[in-house]
Amino acid sequence: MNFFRLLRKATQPGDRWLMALSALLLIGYAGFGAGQRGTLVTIHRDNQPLNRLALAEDSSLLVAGRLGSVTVEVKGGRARLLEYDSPRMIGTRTGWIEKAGEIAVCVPCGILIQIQGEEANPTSSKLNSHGLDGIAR
Amino acid sequence: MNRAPRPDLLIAYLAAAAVAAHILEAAIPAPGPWFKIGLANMFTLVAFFHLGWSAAALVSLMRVMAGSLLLGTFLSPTFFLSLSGAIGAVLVMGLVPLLPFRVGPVGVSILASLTHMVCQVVVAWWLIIGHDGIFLALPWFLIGSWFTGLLNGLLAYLILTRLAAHQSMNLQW
Repeated sequence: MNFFRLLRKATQPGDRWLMALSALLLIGYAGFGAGQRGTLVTIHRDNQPLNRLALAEDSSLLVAGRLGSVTVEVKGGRARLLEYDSPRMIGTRTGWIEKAGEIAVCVPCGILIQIQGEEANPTSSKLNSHGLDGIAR
Repeated sequence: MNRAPRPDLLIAYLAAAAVAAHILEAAIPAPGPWFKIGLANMFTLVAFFHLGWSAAALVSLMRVMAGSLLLGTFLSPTFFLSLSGAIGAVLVMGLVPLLPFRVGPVGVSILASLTHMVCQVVVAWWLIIGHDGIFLALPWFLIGSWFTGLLNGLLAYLILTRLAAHQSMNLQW
């Protein structure tokens, strides 16, 4: 109660407009960032792009990491990283990722997967056709 | 704006208070260098409203320099995060008088706090993390800094009202 009285006393109309406007913009920004679903998951090894998988179809891919093999699993529009030989399993414990920009990383394996949004990759099908997936599947 | 006969003394006192707040706050455990309340910034706000923009810039820069020297982070990545945020916030404060309506400490504090966060995240992306994923977290950081900005603005308002009440003392030393 006291807090709101102080707030009213401390602010002028200009302050209140700024507060309302910035709060609205922030809520919009946070909501927009949270709403974007991805279409692809890209796989990187040692910061080099290695392969991509479409999120639309369920699949899994075995990737050679520095500590042994790592599985990237895609199911129901989400992706996850399954490690077997990583000391802390951080990438696996990240769980399923699905929003554009989200990542799961296994640092000791040198493997990073990231979800890509709508506009990101016109070349995805081309890369997919000569990527590793034919061998690994 | 220059109501105090010796603004240099007031600037020095405000900067000292800001350095003290900066160091006290460093003792509070935080999940990362940019999750702080930024209590030191209320003294920058006081300088801005009581003495003007250049005093605010001085207080802010002295706080970053002296604070980092005392904490031993001078020229480390943390220092550059802090410096970028301080410079960004001070620049935005300079733009506030250009707005078509009057803004008090709370409004300026929120604007400066948001700018501070944006600058820090951009510099963190540039110097430390280098991964675009950090921008995914930016809206949540910004929501946090909106509230810390509000808190600092209110505290600055309280200090300013007391400073105005003690104007009769004329701040002569």
